[in-house]
Amino acid sequence: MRRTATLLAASVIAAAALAEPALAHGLGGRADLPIPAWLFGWGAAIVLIVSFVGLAALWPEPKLEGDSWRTLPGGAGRALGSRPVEIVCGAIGVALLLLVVWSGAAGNQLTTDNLAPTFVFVVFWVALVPVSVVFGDVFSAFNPWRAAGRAVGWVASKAAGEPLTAPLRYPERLGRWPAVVGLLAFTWLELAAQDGDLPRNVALAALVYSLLTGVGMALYGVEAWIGRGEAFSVYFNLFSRISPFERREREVGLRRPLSGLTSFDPSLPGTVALLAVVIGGVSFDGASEGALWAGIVPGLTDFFESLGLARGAAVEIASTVGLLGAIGLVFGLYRLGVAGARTVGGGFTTARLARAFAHSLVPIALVYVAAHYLTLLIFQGQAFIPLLSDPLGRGADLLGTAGGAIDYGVIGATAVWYTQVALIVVGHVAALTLAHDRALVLYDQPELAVRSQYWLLAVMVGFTSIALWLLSQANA
Amino acid sequence: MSRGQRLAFLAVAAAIAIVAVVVLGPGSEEADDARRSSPTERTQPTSQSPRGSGRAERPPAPPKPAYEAIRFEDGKPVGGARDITVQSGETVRLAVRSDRAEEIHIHGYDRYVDVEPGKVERARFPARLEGVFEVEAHSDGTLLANLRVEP
Repeated sequence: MRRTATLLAASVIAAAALAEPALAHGLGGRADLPIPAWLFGWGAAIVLIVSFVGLAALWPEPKLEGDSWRTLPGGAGRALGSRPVEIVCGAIGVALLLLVVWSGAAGNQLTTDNLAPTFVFVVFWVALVPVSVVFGDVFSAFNPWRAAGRAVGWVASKAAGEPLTAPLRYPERLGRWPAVVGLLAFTWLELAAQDGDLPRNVALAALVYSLLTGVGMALYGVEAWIGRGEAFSVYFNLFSRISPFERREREVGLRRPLSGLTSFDPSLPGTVALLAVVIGGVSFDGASEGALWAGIVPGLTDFFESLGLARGAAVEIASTVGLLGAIGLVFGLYRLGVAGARTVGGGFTTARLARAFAHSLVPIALVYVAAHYLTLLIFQGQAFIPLLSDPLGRGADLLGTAGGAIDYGVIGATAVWYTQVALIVVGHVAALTLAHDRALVLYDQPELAVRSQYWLLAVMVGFTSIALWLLSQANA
Repeated sequence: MSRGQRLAFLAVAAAIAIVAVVVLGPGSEEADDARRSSPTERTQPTSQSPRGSGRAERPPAPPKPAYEAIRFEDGKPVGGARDITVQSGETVRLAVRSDRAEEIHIHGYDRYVDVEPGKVERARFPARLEGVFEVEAHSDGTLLANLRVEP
C-alpha cells in the first residue's frame, strides 16, 4: 500500500517536472550537452561539401547491386551457422526474456535499480543496433520468440508424426505493417508513456508482446511471422543488412558492406512507414530535449487538460501527438523528395519510387539512432554488469559484480560531439551511395539517374541537417 | 555525366569550403581560445590596487568564490530548477538550504549532501565529468537543478 502511494506521488512529480525541460530518459540522470554552434556549422558545411564532391564522382555502373556473398573460409561459416550454435543462442535468448519478465514483475520498482528497463531500453534496443551493423543479424539467432516457436513446432511435428503447416497464409497486403505497429508501440512505451520505464510495465509489455508474437507464429508459421510481422526481427534485420556478414541456410558468409540493403525487398507494404517510425521516433526523442518542443508542450498539455483529462494523461497524449507528428514529418519530407525525383521522368509513380529508394534511408536511420543514443549506450550500458548480479534490485550479488558503478568519465563531451557529427556525415555518404546505385538500376538513361539524384540529395541533406540541428538543440 | 559538369560540382564544393572557412574558421577559434583561457584568468585574479584610494597598504582580500544557492521549500526548488554551469576542471560550489531534512543527490558525481531543516549545507567538489547532471531531492526525486559541466 505504501509503495503504491510512493509510486503515485513519484509519477505526479514526474508529470509536473515534465513541464520544464526534463532529462529524456528515466535511466541515468545524465544528459548530453548540445553541440556548439561552430561544430553545427562545420558539420553542415562538411555534409554539403561531401555531397557536391559525391555528385562530381557519380559512377556510371552500379557497384553494390548484385550478389557478392561467399561462405567464411576454413569451415568457420558452417560452424557458426550450425544447429547446436542456433540452439544454444536461442536458449540464451529465451532465458534473457524470462529474466527480464521475472525481474520486472518481482523486483524493486525503482527504474535504475531493476535489470528490466536497462536491459530492454539499452542492451536490447540500443546495443543490438551496432552489434547488428558489425556482425550481421545476430538477433535472429538469439530471438527468443523464434527459438520458442521453432521448439514448439519441432515438438508438435514429432507428436503429429508429420511436418506442420501454418493454418493461414501470410497475407501479402499485410507486408511489414505488423512490424510498423509493433515498433510504434515500443517507441511509444519508451518516449510517450508516463510510466513506460517502470519495471513492472516493462515486464507486462514483454509478456503481452510475447503473447501476440505467439499468436502470429501459430497462425502464419514461425518464419513468415518472424520475417515480416515481428517488429524486432524486422528492425535489427534492417541494420544487419549494412554488415559484411550474412547467414544463409546453415552457413555464415561475407559480402560487400551495405550490399545487403540492395536485396531488401521494398515491395512489401509498410516499408517506408517502418523507416519513418524509426527516424521519426529518434527525432521526437531528440526534439523533446530542445527548446522547440519545450515551447509547444505546455500549450498542448493545457489543451488536453481543458478537455477534461488528468494532468498525467494530458502529458502522455501531448507526447503521443509529438511522436506521431515527428513520424509524419519524416514521412512527408521523404515523399516530397521522391515526388520531386518523379518529375525527372522515367514513367514511375511516386509510390513506386518511394519504395525503390526506401533502403537508402537505413543508414540515415542508423546514424539517427547511433548519434542520439551514443552516450546512453556508453554510460547506462555500464549499469548492465552490476544489474546482472542483482537483477531484482534487492541487494543480491550473484556474480560478484553488484558493486560496479557507472564511470561518467570514460568519454568527454568533446569526443562525444565529434563522434556524433562524424557518424552523421558517414551515414549521409552511405545513403547517397545507395540511392545513386539504385537509380542506375532503375533508370534506363544514365542522365535521368543523375537528375533523380539531385532530389534525393536534397532529401538526405534535409535529414542530415535535422540530425545535426537536433544535436545542437538537446538541453541547450 | 560530362567532364564540365563534374568540374562544376567540384567548384561548388570548393566554394562551400571557402565560405565555411571564412565564416566559421577564425571566429570560432577566437571564441574557443577565449573560453579556454577564461578559467585560468578566473583562478588567478589580477591583483589591482584600489584606484583613487589613499590606503593602498592593505592588499585586497581575495574574492570569495561564489556558492550557487539552491533553496528547497514546500517540496519545490525556489525559482524553479535552474542550470548551474561550470567549466570542466573548475570547482563546483553548492550551498543548499531546505525546509525539511533532506538528502540531496548529485547524479553522475554520485555525491550526497545531507541537509538539516533551516540550515545551509555546503558542498565543494571538482567538476571532472562533462555533461548535464541532475541534482535532485533523494526522498522523492524532485529535480532541484541541472549541473552543466562544459568542456
